[in-house]
Amino acid sequence: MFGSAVEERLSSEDRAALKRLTELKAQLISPPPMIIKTYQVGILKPGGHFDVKAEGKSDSYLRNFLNLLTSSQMGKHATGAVLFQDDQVNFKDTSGTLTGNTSYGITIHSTLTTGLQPNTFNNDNLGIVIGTGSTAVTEADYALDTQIADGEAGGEMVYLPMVDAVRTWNAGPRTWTVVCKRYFWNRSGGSITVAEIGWIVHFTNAAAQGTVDTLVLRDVLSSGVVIADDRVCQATYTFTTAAFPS
Amino acid sequence: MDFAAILEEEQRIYEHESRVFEEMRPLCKQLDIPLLNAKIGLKVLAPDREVLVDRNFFSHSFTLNQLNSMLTLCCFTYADDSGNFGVGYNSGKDKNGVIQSSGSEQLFTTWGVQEAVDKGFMASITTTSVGTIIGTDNTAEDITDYDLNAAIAHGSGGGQMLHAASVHSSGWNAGSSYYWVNYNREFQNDSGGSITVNEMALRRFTNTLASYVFVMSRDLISGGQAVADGETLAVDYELRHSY
Repeated sequence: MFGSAVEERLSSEDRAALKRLTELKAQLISPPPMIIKTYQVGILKPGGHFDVKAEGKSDSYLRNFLNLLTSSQMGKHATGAVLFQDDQVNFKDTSGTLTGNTSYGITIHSTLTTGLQPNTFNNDNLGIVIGTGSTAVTEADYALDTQIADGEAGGEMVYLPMVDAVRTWNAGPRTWTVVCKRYFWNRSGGSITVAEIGWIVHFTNAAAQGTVDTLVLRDVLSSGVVIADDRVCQATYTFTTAAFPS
Repeated sequence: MDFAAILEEEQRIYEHESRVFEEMRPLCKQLDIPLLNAKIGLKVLAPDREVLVDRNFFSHSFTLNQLNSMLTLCCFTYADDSGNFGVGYNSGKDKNGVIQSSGSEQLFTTWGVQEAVDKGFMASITTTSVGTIIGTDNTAEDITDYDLNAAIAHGSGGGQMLHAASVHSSGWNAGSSYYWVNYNREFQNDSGGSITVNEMALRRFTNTLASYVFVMSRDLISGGQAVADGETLAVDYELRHSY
């Protein structure tokens, strides 16, 4: 359904699930749109070669994102800000504060560079982010376990602007691929092991566009990636759609 | 195929697809694939509100607008293929047939108020510009559909039907683990003659860039549905998102 580049990064259990899903999809008159995502984290070598050290299927659209999807795709206002669970449509910011305004829907801040992909240096509260924690992902996660802060002090890395997403239409299989990447420069004086990645987006649940730092993706890497001093870490998310109908 | 056989086949397909979606949900959860679908309910009501016909089926045609809306949101990209619309381009075509795109703003989003009339998928009484609409054309569905081919106008004249306001409801289906949002809209035939409804669509008002209306789904009604003078067609579009 998604091509070999995706399927080779799946576990055997996930390949079996995908095989069955493909069979079921074929039984529908008109299958709904489907999107799967994978990650790669590694070291950017001199000359631009990307030495991949950890990769796999992304296990997370977090509850924050699923609620955004419900609200924005289905025209639903948020529910209240009391409980953060399956039957609620609200979101938690990266500090754990729950937001739910029943008068408005949940949306992403409108513009690309202020809502999704920062185009400035040193922005560690928007875009792809990295951390050192390895607590298993749960749908209710709202922050990285231990985010690496932007900077040049011990344990910090410099967050570079996000490279523009590359969106490709694959005419043969009729799928889209969107590749989003970010670089992080270790100028701390010592090595840092990256063990988790995520993506922070700016949500709003009000009449005006807001900038609520909201974690929508989080993944614990298949293995920690050691970034030596003065080396650059690259973290990439790749989104792939199933075939668009003809 | 006579009409009774059409209804029987429609019900068989609905029950089969219900089972398929039930099995798909945990697989999509395992693979972290968002699963959205739309279930449609059609009822024909007599003047005394007796249910004369009760039909159920899944939407078989999300438009390219909807597919690109999912692409844009779930892949954190923008609908910026300016000047082009079709499979292979990320853009939208509004209900007037004008191609819309944006490289800097969310194209398909309604921000702020969504559940009020004439916002999101909600229509006020008599409104035909947004919300659920119905029509008489039976041209096969195409992914690039951007509006109905022959929308029924509001009114009591020949070929017209009285359009009520949309009614919004929502909830969580714990047993099957999906959130649902239902848009109910009634269309009363006060025209003096029977009208056969063959198509229906869901129009969405969006406003992050400018105010546009996009058709997110256009569905044919198998065999059409006749609505006699004095009867009412009640349409339920239930959008579902599995968690």
